[in-house]
Amino acid sequence: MEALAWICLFAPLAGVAALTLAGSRISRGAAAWAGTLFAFVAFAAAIAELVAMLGEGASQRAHTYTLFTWAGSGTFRVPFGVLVDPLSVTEMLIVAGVGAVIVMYSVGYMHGDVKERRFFVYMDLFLFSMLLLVMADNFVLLLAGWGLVGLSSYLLIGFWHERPEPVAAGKKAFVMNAVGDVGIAIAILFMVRDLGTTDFGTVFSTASQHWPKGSADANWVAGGLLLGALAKSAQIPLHTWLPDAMEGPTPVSALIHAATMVTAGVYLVARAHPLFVNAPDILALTALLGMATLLMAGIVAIVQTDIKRIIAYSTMSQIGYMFTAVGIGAYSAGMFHLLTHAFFKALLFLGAGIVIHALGGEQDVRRMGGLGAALPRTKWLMWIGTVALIGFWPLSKDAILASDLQKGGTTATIVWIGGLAGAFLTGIYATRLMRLTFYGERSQYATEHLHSDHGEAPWTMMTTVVILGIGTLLSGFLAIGFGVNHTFADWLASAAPSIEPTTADDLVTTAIAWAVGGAGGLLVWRAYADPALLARLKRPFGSTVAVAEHKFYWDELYDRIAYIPAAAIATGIYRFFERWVIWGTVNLVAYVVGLVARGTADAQSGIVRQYATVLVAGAAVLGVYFLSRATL
Amino acid sequence: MHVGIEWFILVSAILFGIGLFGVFTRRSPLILLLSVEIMLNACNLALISFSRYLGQQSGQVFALVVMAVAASEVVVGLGLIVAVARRKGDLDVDRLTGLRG
Repeated sequence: MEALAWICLFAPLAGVAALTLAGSRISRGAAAWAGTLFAFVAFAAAIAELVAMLGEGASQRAHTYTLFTWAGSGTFRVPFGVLVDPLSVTEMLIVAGVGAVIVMYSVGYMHGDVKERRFFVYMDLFLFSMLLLVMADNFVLLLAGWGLVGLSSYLLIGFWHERPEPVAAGKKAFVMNAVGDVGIAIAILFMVRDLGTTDFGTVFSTASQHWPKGSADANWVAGGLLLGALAKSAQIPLHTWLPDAMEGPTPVSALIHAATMVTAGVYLVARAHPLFVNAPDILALTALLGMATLLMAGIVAIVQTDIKRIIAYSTMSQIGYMFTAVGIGAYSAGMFHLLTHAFFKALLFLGAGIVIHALGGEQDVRRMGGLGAALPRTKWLMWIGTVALIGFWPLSKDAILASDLQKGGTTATIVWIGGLAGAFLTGIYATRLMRLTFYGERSQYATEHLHSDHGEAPWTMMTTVVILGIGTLLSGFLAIGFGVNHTFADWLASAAPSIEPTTADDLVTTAIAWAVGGAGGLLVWRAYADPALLARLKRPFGSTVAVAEHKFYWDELYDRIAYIPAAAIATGIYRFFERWVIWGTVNLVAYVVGLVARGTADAQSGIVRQYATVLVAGAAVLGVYFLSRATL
Repeated sequence: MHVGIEWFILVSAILFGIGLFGVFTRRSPLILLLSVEIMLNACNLALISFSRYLGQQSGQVFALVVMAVAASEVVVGLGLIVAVARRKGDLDVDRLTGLRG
């Protein structure tokens, strides 16, 4: 349904316009609810679109709608067009649905902030940008959405710009994402040069004719797109911005940096899979980088002390799983994990937001502890998220790993083993988070600062978390272990035909993943109850812990290879070029002009009769000149 | 008797010379202004003479314009002189060198 697609896309933009124009004429509360309403309109349109699509045959589910020609040059045209197919409808539902409930959560969370109205404008702007990204039917429009989500992310990370850290974090995210944007731009240049179009359908159907499989050009295109995906999805080596992005308000972390924007890389690889299949090396690289990220982020998450950063590293790790999935061709498994992750990770973030809210802004898990008695509903809801994160219920992670078995070969086997090791790490850090926050003795800090003047949390916040909890539980039924039920894979098959595991693969993998995840969880549970055991477990990792606490020195590495050389070059240019050449030239010109001016200033004596003399003398000279030339 | 154009030009030149002499020799801004006025009128005379001599009216128009400009100039000039006299009490153009560069 064409109208529904446009309503879904433009409802949040209408929200941006309405809230901006209304300004301070409406109250903060009204602005917040208006922003929420526009998000829910988009969600309703997405649901209606899903219903309409379910009524169509599996082969007629891809629709392209064009509003106008956005840009053109010669025969090259960029239409403002959207592609509505099962893949984009899935993303629309996730973005608008999770987005709408998180915007509703923000009504409570942001209540009383002086910039409340602006916050909701930015949130609606983000929703529009993200919907544009997932609905675009060509790469240029996709890149426009890609850039706009980067902008909204920047605005929302640096939302509390009175403090220097959020501003620095926003800049870092923007710069690292710009690196990725360049990658996509390079891929687009190849398309324009060789195919003359960036339209998804044409590009995917003709790519292999112009770029032979595995050729340098095919690698450039897929590699460029991969660079963009890595930056947006915070995967090695462009991942360092995501933990810092936690400086933004918690609903932003939940919506942008957990549920939707950071998973855009997974969507891009799934959407552009014909280009990646055309470049097998890049596809393998996608899977291996995903595996490296999931292991590294899992290890770092174990030693973090900031509750939001723990969840942020967990997000990186889970997106690593999604990358391994799309990297071996299991697009439906990757998208399924993206879907369940959107629910349970948003749930964990918003649960953490309630804890932070209740403690008046404290985020350090070492200053929490024993909060289970004060926040019982939050505790149980976060348990749902934790169980999902470890991989016990929605079974989306197991579907990815089972697909590795089905795929076979060296890369997939390495990824399978790495993924299972990651499951162990997940068990450890997820359980540690719950243990430190809700159990044990209540810390002195928590006792002093815990306030419950509005119950556990405002009703909008609690409702959202409950909805996400229900969503987490229900999402598992879409594909109970891929081998058993292929509903979700069949749904996506027309957009991204995928590797699917057999029931046997699935049962074996799930059993192993449950065992290692549960073992990790139990280990942590025992260790934090028994300090001697904890110390004994930590001892063999003495120096490794320091490495993990420094996040594997990635920030230090980038300081060395990028920031410090750039700063040195800039300082050098300042010292030698700026100071001597530029300042020298400017000062020399000024000095010469001054000299000339001082010399000629004496002619301006201020004595009127001197001026008259000069005037008459001049006239006399001219008179003599003209008279001498006159022909009588 | 017919008076030739030469006589008019001669009178004009003499008047111009008188005015110029005044500008060069006098120090009072008031006299200076008068001298300039004499020079302007010398020019007017030349313009009108040539206009009659050549049978063209444009010279007379120029003379009218010069008169109008001269009247305005006198207004501004006299105003300045009055203001300077009030501020300094002493009117000597050689000492009024405030615009020295």
